[in-house]
Amino acid sequence: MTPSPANTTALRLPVAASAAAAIAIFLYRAAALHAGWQPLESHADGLLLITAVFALAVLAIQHYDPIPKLNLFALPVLTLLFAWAFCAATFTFRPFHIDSVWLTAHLAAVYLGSCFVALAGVAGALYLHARRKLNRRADLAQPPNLASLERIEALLIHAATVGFVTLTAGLALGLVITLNDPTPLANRQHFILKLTLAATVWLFYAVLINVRYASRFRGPRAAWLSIAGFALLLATFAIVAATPQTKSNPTKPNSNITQLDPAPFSAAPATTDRVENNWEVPPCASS
Amino acid sequence: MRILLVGINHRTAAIDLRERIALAGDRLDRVYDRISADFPLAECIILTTCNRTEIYIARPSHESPTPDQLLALLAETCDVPRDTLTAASIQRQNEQAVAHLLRVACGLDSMILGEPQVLGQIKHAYDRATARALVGPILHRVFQETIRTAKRTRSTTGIDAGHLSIGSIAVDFARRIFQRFDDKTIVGIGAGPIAKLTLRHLADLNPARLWLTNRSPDRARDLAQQLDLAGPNRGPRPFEDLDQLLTEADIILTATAAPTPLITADRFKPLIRRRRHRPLLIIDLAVPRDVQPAVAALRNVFLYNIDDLQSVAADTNDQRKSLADAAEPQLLTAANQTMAAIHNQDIGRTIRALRQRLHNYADAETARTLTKLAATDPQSLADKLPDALREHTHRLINKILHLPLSKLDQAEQGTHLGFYAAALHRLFGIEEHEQQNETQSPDTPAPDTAPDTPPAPRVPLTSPLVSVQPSPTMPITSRDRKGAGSPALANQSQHQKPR
Repeated sequence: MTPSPANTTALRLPVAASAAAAIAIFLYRAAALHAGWQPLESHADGLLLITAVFALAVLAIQHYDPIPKLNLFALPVLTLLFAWAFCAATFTFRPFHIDSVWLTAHLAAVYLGSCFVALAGVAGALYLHARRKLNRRADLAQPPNLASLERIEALLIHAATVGFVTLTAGLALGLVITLNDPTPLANRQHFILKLTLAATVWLFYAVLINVRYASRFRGPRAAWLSIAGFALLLATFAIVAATPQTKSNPTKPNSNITQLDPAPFSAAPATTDRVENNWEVPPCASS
Repeated sequence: MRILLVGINHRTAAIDLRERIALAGDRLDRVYDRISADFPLAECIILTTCNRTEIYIARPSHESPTPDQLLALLAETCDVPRDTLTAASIQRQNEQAVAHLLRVACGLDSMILGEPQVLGQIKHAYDRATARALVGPILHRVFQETIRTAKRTRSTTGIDAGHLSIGSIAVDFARRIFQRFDDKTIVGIGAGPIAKLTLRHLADLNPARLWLTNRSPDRARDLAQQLDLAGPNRGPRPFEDLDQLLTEADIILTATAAPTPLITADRFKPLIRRRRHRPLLIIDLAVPRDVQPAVAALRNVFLYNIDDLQSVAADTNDQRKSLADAAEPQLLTAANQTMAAIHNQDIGRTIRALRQRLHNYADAETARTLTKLAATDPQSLADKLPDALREHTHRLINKILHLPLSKLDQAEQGTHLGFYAAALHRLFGIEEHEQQNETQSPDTPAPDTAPDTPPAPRVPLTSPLVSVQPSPTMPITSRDRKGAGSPALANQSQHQKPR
């Protein structure tokens, strides 16, 4: 059946609620933690930023040029991001050591890029779903309840293009930061793994945005690439979260923070002991 | 008021009779003129489509035209034997007529279930009759309510969703794959009637290029002319260009009579690279098939054959049937509500007219009594006043009751007088004991029917129903009976067609 206006609105509501919640928690963290709070100072902030931008991007698309079922496919990603943000704030909270504009720009670019990579991944899943229905001749008697393959592919390419540009900027900034890090690469296996994964994601998206020329990747392959790219990016974040404390990840020098709340969903302050010696490595560079 | 429907449609009449009864152009005007001239009190809308010719009439309950008169008029205008027309006709009244119109408007009575064109045709018929001033408040209400209900029903049930024709299904498939067509190339292979019908639908997508090819170039040229394909990017191409066309195409429609597949996997595989892996929709309407099934397994190729399209058409029809069944109760409810509203409107108008008429009677009698009293000697006014008031009251009551009771007296054979008696009892709240008192009164003749007796076929002039007698002192004159004392009263008896 064609999605009725009521259904469309019903599906938009949780997306809009996710955007509002992410922004609200982000602002709450900014206001409730301490005076020295910096945007993106922890992975939780970054995930909240991704969630908010991703939800707003979906809402904008649905407002200006709606794609049936996009909301439905976006909701699991939003749920995942929220859950991860919750975990990152509650169980694996480690603030970044933000001591330069390079790092801030790197983090912002990586998170923004991740948001659009997520959108491309959602579009890829939607494309495969629509294609599968066409090949299985399912519901052909029903009015189309999905956008055309061409439209979904266009969304995929556009999202991948924006994601690729911002990720490229983030990676370049990460390289600059890495070059200034005196720690030998040999001592940073996690970083090498992270860098490899990030480079793979970048490569996937480089192919994706050139799919008109690399036409062998056109269609379902492009969709799978976008999904795989998003999955790899999530894996990169996971590696960042799992990176052990190294000498190249020093505790924040001005650790006069006494109330750094690891849980954005509650007002309970974390102890300084927990914060110390547990600084998080940014997604694509070692500090 | 009564609403009548008389007509024929595809369920009751074969196409040759429908053709003969089809009202269009001058013939439609003639029928409208005849109805307007012969039945001035009637509102009329004629719905004429390729599948039906139906006349909707609203008129006062006991007026013309009757269904027989309408059939006679149709038979005469269309030069069709009356019996033939009567046998193939449908006749409906009131709620049934409105329910039928609602079913027609929703496409539930159409040959293609749920088709949307009929609603536009109903609007057109309504506008045309309105322009001829043949639509009054009743048919206005019926048709406006019908159009509103049909739109609502269509949107809530989705009865017109999906496609039933092969051409529109092909277009639907194309829309599931492509977003825009102004940069696409459509190729038609074959020049038969199926190819023509389907290409006509596809051409409506305004593709950037539309090529035709056929083993016989002449037939391809003919088809291009029939489809009005002219211009640099559309028209026939030689059959030898087939590989090139397969490379250029985004949508291929093939419907040839070739005994073996024209497009095989071996032929198409080398072209995929030249096509740069662009998505390709192939609609194969040929039997035997023009496209080898293995082609469907190639990446970015979407192949549908005639069975796929027919299966979609059958599924759509089944869905529409179930939706139509679900919509029927809604339509019946809507028809009943519409008729209830019409009855309310009708009774309101009747009450207003009755009230006005009674006021006119009262004004006329008051003027007469005052004139008479003015001529009276003031000395004896007080003595004469009671008699004058009694006379005034008698005359007024007689005037009020004269017309209905004389109508009852003149009732035709078969009129259910018992119904009228019951109605009078109920409307005027006449209790049983009042009736018994009247019966016991020596001055009043006994009723000729027992309370439970079925209605008498005819009532004589001496019937107790006409028991209002003029005052012994002031007999009613014939002038009084006609209400001629007031010119307005005379006019009240004239029905005026509300428009």
